[in-house]
Amino acid sequence: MIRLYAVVPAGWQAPTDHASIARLSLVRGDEVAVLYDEPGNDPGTGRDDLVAYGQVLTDLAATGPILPIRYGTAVGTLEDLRQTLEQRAPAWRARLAAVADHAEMIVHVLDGRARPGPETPSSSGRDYLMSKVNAHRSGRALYDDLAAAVAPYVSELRRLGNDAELRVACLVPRRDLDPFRAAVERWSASREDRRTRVTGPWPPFSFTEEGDAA
Amino acid sequence: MSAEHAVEHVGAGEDLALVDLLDRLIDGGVVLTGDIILSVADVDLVYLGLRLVLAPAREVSESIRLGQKSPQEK
Repeated sequence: MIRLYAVVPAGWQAPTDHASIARLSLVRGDEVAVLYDEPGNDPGTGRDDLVAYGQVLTDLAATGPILPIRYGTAVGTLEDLRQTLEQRAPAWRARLAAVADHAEMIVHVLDGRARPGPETPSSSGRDYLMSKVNAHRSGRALYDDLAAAVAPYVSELRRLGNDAELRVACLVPRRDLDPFRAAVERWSASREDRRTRVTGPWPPFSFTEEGDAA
Repeated sequence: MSAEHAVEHVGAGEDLALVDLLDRLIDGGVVLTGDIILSVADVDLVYLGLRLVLAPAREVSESIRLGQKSPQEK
């Protein structure tokens, strides 16, 4: 079993000061390369295994542009890996260019009430549906408002999850991380009904494929 | 800005960021499908507020899975 970690540029060189990266192997194509290891029959699927995998990706992201591969992806042989790499190389090369010198930041917008009130039971099916529509519209308006506030510092946006909580992944140039944080703070100061949390910087998990913002 | 409306900044290495890391590892990243791709981790993720409980992953069967839906999608 060959467990895949990340797509990197074809000219990628392993740093000498990261033991977690040094143990990985590399299949190199003309345009891109893929990092992998061979964990044997028990690759590990517990929480600690995911955290360790994530730490390797975070260390890799510090060495240059990467496209993290979804946890648990594997191929059977190196020939399978080379075949996959050849098929996906043009798209991957384009995305590596798009995420180069960027980091992913995730903004959580939470209900700011100390104790959210109980939901009022709907008197009819129509009322229930309308409450869902209103919640969707409210979430959409909140997303649009946040997107406008951080637009000068963000290359791409992806809305994550569902309407229950607004989570937005932002692809931010590394040079703009501090201005981005400041923009979120200014936006949050105007929203007394919400609490805001920003996590990151992360490898570009949410930006490995070209797509429209949510 | 009042203290209660200050933004909470959480670095990638902090415990509070763990939910985002785990979520992105299994719901983000490059997705590969096809008859040469094996999926070795089909992890059910259950959120309990900010606490995260990982259900045991199913073991990979010998056969190669093609676009098989996760339990959450079924």
